[in-house]
Amino acid sequence: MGEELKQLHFDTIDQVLDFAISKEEEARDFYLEWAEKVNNSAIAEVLKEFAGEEQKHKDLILDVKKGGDFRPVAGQVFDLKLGDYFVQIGPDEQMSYQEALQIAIQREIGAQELYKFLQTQSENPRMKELFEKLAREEAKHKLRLEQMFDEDVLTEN
Amino acid sequence: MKSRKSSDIIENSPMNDSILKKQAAVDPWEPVWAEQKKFDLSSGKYVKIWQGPQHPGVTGNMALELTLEGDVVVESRTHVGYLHRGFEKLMERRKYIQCFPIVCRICVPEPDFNEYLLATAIEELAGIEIPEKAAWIRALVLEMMRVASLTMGLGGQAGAFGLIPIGQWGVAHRDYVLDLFEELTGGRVYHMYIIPGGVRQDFPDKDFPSRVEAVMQKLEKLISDIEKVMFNNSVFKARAKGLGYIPPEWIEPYGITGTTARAAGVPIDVRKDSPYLIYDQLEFEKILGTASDVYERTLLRKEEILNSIRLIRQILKKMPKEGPVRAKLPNVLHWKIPAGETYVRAESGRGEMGYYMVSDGSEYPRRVHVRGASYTHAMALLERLAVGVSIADVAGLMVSLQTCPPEIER
Amino acid sequence: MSLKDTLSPFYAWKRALEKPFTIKKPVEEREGAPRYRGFHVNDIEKCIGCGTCEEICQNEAIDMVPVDFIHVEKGDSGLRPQIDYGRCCWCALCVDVCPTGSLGMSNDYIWATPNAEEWVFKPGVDDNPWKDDDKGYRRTDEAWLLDPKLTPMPVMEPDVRKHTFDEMAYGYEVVMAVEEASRCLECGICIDACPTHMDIPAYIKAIRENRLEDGLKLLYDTNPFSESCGRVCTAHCQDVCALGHNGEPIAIRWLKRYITDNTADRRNEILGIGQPLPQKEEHVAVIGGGPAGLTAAFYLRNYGYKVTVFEKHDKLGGMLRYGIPEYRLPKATLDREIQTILDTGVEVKYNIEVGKDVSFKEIREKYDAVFISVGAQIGTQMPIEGSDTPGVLSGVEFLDRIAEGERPDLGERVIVVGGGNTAMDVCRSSVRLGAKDVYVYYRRTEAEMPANVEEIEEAKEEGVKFEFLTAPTKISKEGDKLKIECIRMQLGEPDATGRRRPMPIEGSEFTILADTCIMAIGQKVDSSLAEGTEVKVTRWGTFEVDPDTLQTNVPGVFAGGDCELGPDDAIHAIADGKKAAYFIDKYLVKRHDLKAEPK
Repeated sequence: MGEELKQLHFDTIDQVLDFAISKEEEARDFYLEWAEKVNNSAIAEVLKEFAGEEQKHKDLILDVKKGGDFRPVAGQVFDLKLGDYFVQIGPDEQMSYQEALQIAIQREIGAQELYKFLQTQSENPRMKELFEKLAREEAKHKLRLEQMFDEDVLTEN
Repeated sequence: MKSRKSSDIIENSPMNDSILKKQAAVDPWEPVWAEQKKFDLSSGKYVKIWQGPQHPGVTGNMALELTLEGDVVVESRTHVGYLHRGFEKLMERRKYIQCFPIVCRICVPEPDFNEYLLATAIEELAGIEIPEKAAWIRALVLEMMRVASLTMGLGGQAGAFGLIPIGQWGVAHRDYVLDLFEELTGGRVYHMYIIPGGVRQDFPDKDFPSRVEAVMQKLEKLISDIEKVMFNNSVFKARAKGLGYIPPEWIEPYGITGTTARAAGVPIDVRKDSPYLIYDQLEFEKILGTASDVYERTLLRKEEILNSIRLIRQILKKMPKEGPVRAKLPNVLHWKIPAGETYVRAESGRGEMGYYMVSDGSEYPRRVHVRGASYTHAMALLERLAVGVSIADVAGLMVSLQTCPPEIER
Repeated sequence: MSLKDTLSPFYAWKRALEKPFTIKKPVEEREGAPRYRGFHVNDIEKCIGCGTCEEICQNEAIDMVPVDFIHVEKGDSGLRPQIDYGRCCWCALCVDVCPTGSLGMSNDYIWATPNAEEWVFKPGVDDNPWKDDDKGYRRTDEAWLLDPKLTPMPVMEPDVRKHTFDEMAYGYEVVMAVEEASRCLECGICIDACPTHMDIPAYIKAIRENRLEDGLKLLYDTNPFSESCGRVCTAHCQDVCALGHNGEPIAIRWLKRYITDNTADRRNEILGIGQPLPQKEEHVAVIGGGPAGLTAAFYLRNYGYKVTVFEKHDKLGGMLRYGIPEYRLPKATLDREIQTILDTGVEVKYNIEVGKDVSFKEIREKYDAVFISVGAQIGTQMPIEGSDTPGVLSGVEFLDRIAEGERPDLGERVIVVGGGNTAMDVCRSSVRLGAKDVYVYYRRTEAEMPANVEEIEEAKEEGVKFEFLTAPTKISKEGDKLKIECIRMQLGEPDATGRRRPMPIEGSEFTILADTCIMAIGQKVDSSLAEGTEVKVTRWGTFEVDPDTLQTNVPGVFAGGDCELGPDDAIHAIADGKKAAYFIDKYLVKRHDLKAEPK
């Protein structure tokens, strides 16, 4: 990722937004691809749901591009920091529900870190603000997935 | 105490001496209907009237079938049955705890004695011991009950002779005692307070004894008024003295107990003879009389009220201040009492009241028999005593025997 | 006639100058005494509709009736008392016997109405002027007719039981059992709460009346694992017991144990096992010999079907044997109970794992119906770094080894991660294996622990130390010890779902060295046998079934127990087994009918 990052340079707000949109599309396609590959139809459902979420995020950013704004977040977005301590794993045809969630959380963490990094790199205050908002959106996604992990997997912890 | 003979009668008796002598000569063990004469009702000499069952001159719902020759009763029959509610059978079909709310309704003026006797019978059969404070509270409740009942009884006695205001005073002061019961037990007339194992709840607050004392003082004032107005009343004296004379030899065959027996000079009082609850720790004497007529019986009842007030004061003073008021019962929904039988008795305002209970080891009592204290007074005794009495005095005579139909018929 | 006697009555005239005794307007001026027994009031939220007031009323004045806006739910029958004032005698026994204290009486005493039908009313539901009165007769502690205290079960002292796997609870003596059984109100609310709807008031009555044979038959009507449940059931019945509202619930579990323990030697005789039953031709396969599978086998045998159980271990029992340690459920007891089930004629094939040794397809073709009850026997892995370090065990596997008879040496210090019943079993077993320092780390607070409260208490008594709001983040090896890095948590504000979730506290990391770390954070189903078949599996790995009939999407294939509900307790598995047997029978009967149709 390091090499790519160095080459990232944004001149306009629209470029930033396009970049974010492409990231969401990439995520959506990843989930749809693996939804076809997995053996278990129930897990395929799960991955398709994740893909749907990513599509929703993309639509939201498109909306921002047209002139809307991100929904205001009241106060802090919680961070359960579950995924922060997870071991990195890769997708697999046999993956279970728990592993699918882990992968999704991993990806959200990655996205969040990307935006935070870009925030530090940029000098334009409006862009900084935009990256901060995008990072916050990713944090919300991560929270949602971590809540699902907390509810469904960590039943006795 | 030597027994009085019928020849020693107080002066100024309006009764016909010959009738009295005839009464005295009759063998009490002979039933009254054995010497029954046939009265020819179509002769125009005799009139048969019914006093009761709904009549202000009858205590409760009871019918007196009187055959009159002029103004004088020559024959009297007592008919009961208007108040039979079948308690004894009802109790056979109810669990022991379910019997508890219904027994108080056997008697209106003194329901607590029924509750006490049922509870004691069950406790004896089941082997339950009640806490000490419960015994004291029970005695207090029974004495207050007696006071209330006798106050109303005094009023009733006066009313039967036409001295109506005293009747009103009696009932009004009974209401004060009922107010106390309302505070203590939650009910005015039917308390449902004495439960097997003790009593249901302790005093409502620590000022309750002082309120009891205040009511007792009111009652003492009332009694002193009644003494002036009733017992020194020439009309009352003229009508009541010599009326309804019961020879002492009749006490045992007729099963007469209570004030009626003591007025004849026979000293029986369950509280002293076989003390129950805490009566052996209280100081009091049996109240005896000699003349055995209506006047004497009324006088003794007044003395009983004063005696009970003294007992209440003693109880309140000697009672333990702290302690549980109920022994733990097994689950009352399915409570089985070991098989056995017992007879328990108490001194109610009218006499000795008793409960005979038989259990067969199941959840229901096998048989409960209630001996109302005035059972014999209204039936056998009254039929005998009413002969030769003027019809105007029949009511007064009956009230003096303290007949209580609900208790007779259960 | 003296002058005094003639004049003295005039003394009564002094009353003309005195105040009258009576009150002009008693209705307004005189309120009933604070303890007066007036008209009934009922707090319908507190009331659970148990019907004890109906039972004690001597004149049958109270009837329990359904009310529109009250719903039947666990612990509430949905009925409320209706009192007929033509029959009520105002004795207040109903108030004194109420287990929740909801029924009371106000001190109001006047009710005039032209319509007498109004006097049959539901207090608390119908509108009356005294509805919200707080004065009047209420149940007090000294007047209460019920016994709130439980008869305690004699157990081994913590210092003694720490060193042995012998059974901890000794069992009730006769007197204690009868005393405990006498507390029952026979309200029946427990029957609905029990997953398999055992007739609890009836068997408690059997204990009271010393008819243990009848009691045993009642137990086996709904639960062939009554002896085990009498020791380890989670007792949903006790949670809703009417007495539990203002006192301690009846010890239903221990009473069940009393019946089974005291009839153990005559069990087959009492139940009539071994007598010839009419036999049917169909043959049902049960995959998994745990509580769900064996219960289904028992009831299917009672219907007359041939049953074969496929068990991957070499002994039957499932999680009852391999998940619950000896000191709670001795193996001898479990064996004797399983033998009763086997005595009905169940065939067992040991050491066969369907999906590996034989394929599911073969079973499906060979047998007329299949019941899958493989349970949830895989422990969830915590996906943190180092969770595969040697020395880190899975809780479920550890208990499996203990059940096989192994007594591994765990060293001095053991860290157990998790807060469910498995974690409790693991930590208490660790104590018995000689570990001196046993910790339980749970990510949330004690109030949220899913384990039985009694288990937590007993673990504390045995010296287990609990650290709440703690979770490991990384495990590594340091010498021959495990180095476990942990972080402390705090509960955050409620989130969108309303739950307060634990969040790490910055800078609260700490490290602890331990000999063994055991993870007991959850369980999963091994649904590999369904791979390649049409049987549908949900995302959580459980088998997807129609909740009414327990049939999967494949006709004739049923599933129940942990593998269908998700990891849960034994009684749910048993309830599923019984339900499945009923529906398998229905399915087979219908098929039989179809076959018999003339072409």
